[in-house]
Amino acid sequence: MRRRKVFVIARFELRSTVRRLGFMVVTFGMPLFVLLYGGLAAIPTYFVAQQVLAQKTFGLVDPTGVLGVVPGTRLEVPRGEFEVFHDEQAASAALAQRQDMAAYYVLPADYLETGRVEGYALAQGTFGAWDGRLELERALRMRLLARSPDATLNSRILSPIKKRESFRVEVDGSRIPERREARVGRLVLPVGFVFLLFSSVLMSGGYLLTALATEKENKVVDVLLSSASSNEIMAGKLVGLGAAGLIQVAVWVCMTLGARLLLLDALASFDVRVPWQAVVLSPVLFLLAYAFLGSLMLGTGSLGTNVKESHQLGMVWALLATVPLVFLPVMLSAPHGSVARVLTFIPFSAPAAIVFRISMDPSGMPLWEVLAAVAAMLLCTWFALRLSARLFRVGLLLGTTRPGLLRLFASAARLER
Amino acid sequence: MNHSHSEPGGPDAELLAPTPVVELVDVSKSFGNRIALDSVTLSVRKGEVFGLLGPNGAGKTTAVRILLSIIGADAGSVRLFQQPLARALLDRVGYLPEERGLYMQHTVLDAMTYLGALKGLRDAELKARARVWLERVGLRDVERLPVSKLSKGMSQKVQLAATLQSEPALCILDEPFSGLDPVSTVVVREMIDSLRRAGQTVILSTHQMAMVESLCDRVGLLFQGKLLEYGAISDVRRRHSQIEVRVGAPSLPSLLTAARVEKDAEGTFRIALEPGQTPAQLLSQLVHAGTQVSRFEPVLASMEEIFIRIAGDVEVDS
Repeated sequence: MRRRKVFVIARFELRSTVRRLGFMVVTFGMPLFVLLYGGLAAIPTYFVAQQVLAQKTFGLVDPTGVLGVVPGTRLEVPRGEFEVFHDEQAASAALAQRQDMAAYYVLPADYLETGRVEGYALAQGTFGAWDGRLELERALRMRLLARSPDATLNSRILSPIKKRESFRVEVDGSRIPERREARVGRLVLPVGFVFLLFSSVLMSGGYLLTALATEKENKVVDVLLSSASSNEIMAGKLVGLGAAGLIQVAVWVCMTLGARLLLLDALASFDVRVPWQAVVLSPVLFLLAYAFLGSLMLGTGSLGTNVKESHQLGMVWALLATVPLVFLPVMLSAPHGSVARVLTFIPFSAPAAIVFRISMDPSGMPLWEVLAAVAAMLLCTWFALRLSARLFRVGLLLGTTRPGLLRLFASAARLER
Repeated sequence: MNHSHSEPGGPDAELLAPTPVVELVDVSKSFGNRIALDSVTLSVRKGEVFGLLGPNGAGKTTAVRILLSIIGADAGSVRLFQQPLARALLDRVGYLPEERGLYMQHTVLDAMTYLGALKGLRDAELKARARVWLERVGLRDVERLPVSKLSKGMSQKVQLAATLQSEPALCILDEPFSGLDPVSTVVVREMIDSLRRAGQTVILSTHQMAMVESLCDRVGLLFQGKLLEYGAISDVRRRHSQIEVRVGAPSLPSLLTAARVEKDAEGTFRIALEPGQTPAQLLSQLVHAGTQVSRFEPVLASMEEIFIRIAGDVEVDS
């Protein structure tokens, strides 16, 4: 393979791609779109949170004095207060007339024995009778424990876990303090890896297949083949469009890092920590995965007789890049379990599975597994490149009709290198 | 009627023969059950314009694709520039395919510089070369236009310029005149002539036999994968011309059967010779029969007639 030819083709493909309006829009618009989408999604979440945090007023009727509260007084609890009424009639009237009251509760005489409580809310209101259950339980506990003399014990019963501290225990027994959302933070790299890989393969693959099908439709293929071998053309296209994909990923990463710096305080609790092993392996695995999936896409996509057919044939592989996300819950519960270990050796899921396992727990993945998985990935990529190069050459020479699969593979097998 | 090995000339002639640029020896190629090339042997000499002729599906494109390493031959050997066919040699070959196209969304200059770079032109000279060749085809002002904005004829000329910009030692031009107006046809024809004058070799595939007669030094006629006619154009025409003679006479003797005689618009007779009969023998026969012969000349068949005759014969045989 002549490097100069590969370089010329790669440079042309890269230039052609980055000059496209669609590429610019997606590259610079995607993070803004994600931000906008996230912002829109955050609006209802914000209002729900505000509703949860808002101070609510409830009525409480204790006709037999089970709790010993005096009518006309108020019981204060976090995010709510209970106004004690003489009787149910007064509470019902207040509920009907006052805008600030969400519901009222009646404690029957046998409350202590049975725990039975009656809840009342307006039929036309949006607040359910038991939407204030947490606040009521808190109020009831406070009043019930008021009879106990041990204030410290009462405090613990009311709030058994008041402050959380996390530590990560290493294999050697050493303990490292960790923020409480660190587990979520450890998912940032693997999830980002799969997202970027999928986006990159999808975008670059799309451009790759469009460019190739257009060349076939425009009858440029014979001119290309008279100047470069099919292997050189395929390698040039993969490198050029891979570079375009990497530029896209780099822009997204930079924009995300920029946003992270701006939102540092908000994100600090997530304590994003990425093991160095994952940082080292990620780019290598990313390139391998791109070469593997990209070559398969190009090889099968080249068999299409027009742009649409090429996309249909080639895009199947891009979807396989998302396989690890399907198994994410299983891998999350057991990062080094059987499923995760099997996925480590399947080329479609291996890159993401390795990054995921190392990010979650670098010490739990033996070195031999890492080396064996990378070696298997290299082998599969080499095989995919060879198979795709042959399919690509057959595909380039196809006219407007496509023979059956068996004949295609037979033609690919017969080809001279 | 296979003339694939029929080139005249003994050992001395071989010593004096011009350098072969292309040599196909017993090249065969099949696609499934269909034989595209059947043991074809031919050579193209340095500095000549060689006409590769034949009807659609005769095997011309297959031969060219084998020559360009796009597909491999099933049997036989191919040599280019006196070396076994290798990819590295193809940088010295320019190819204008019959089914033409360019990168529609790119500017003319971008498309040309890309194709030039692929042929090994250095980055520094890409734009200058492209501009020189655009000038030569009279399209200097379109370099910034997207290819999609060009007319079919302009696009054809741009593609020809793109093919020739690397000044290849061998140019393979497949139907270079199709879609061109008469003025552009003359421009392209002169361009091919200038290539010959510059010592470049041209393989010309076309159905325009008048162009073949005026441009080609030698031809090879392919039919159903077989090389049925091959050699210098004058030899080929002479070989096929001996079968008819134009005779000016008031009447013909009855010994000539009606099936062999046609009277043309000028009032002269066209007489087809018997197999093995020479024009001299016919003349002698006429004179002995007392015919008053005012005109007697062998009809030099045009390439178009030869083409149609051979194609017809093959179709009847098959």
